[in-house]
Amino acid sequence: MDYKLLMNTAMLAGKLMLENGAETYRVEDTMHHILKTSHLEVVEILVVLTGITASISGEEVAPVTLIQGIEKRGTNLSVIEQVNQISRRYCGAEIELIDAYEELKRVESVPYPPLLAFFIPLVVAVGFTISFGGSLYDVLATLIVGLFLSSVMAGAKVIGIDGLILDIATSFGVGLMAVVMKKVMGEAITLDTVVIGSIMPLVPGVAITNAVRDTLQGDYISGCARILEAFLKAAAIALGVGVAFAIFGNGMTGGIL
Amino acid sequence: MIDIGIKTIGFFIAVFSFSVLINSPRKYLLWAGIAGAASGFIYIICVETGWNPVIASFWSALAAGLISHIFARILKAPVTMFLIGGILPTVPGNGIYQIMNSMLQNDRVMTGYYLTQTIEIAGAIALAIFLMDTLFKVIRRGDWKQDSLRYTRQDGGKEEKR
Repeated sequence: MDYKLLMNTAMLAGKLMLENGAETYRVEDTMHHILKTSHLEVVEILVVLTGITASISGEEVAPVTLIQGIEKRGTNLSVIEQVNQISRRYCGAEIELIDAYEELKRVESVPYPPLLAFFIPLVVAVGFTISFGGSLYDVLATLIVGLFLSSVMAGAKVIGIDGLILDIATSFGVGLMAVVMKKVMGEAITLDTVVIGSIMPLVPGVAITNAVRDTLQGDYISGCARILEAFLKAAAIALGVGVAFAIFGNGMTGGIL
Repeated sequence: MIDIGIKTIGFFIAVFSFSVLINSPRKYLLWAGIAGAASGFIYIICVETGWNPVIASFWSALAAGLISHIFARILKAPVTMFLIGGILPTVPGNGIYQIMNSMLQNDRVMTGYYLTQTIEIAGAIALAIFLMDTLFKVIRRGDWKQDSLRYTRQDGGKEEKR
């Protein structure tokens, strides 16, 4: 068996999963299964949020150890699903190692049509406004705020900003638009409902889920990092909306608009 | 009654499209939406009964965990696909907003109140997910095994013995 290729395959699978928002234990589990097919005595894997270390060795086999740093992190469940399927098929002896490696190299995200992707934040916002008890006018206001949110998100993708700055910028846009809508529509809408519904596409749902599962699995380093991520994202959203309210709303400045 | 129905449909639409936002595979979108609608439904019912939002979040997240684990086993997919959508209705977007708003109005008392409540909700969600994960680890029998690949680990073990 080509141990180096096996190692590369396991490492590639782990890298893809970790980069696309899988939980730490899932990455360890998948890599463990792939490496276990070598039937060597020692299979050690250490996964933290920023990198992977894996090592295999046996009586007649010199140790093979690889380190892989992880720099970009996002959420893309379709990649995780594909890697999951490939490693299942490989571990179930349906495909050969070399094929698994080639397939893993070809894995890429399956994007939704651009037009659909553009309107998706809008739909999320409207859905949440409905379920948080918004009236018809609230939903109408959210439609406009959400359209603005969608445009900001699409624009940010074109310019290439992401991370916390994107969260602050988009939530600032939401706050600004909501204040404008409140001025336009007056008593007909509830500002709280419109804003809460509209920031829901931004809330760190993925970070919270992964933070909980990582921490309670005992992966404390990854867990802490993800909790921090969730808190920072929440703070960024609050900051964006807060700044918009403070400048344009009735907060500190007495209301410019 | 109609009100609850409309809100539940709202949750379904929201979670369905949020799954598109995080690039879930197409075949799981509907299921993620159902998980979200169910957890949202439980949340509304609990709040309508007059329970505290923290308790409502706990039961809602518990329902989300249960449904996600069941779907994951039926569809042989990672639990995350459904769990992220499932807990979304309980994620404290309201709390984040209220904290910010009270801070802006210089209302320390309400800031403290909402801060505590948001942390409590986060804790309730964590507890619920943890309980469900543990429960499904314990009752792992027959086809109801954790899907993540563990079934192959047993095959590997057999081959090693040979």
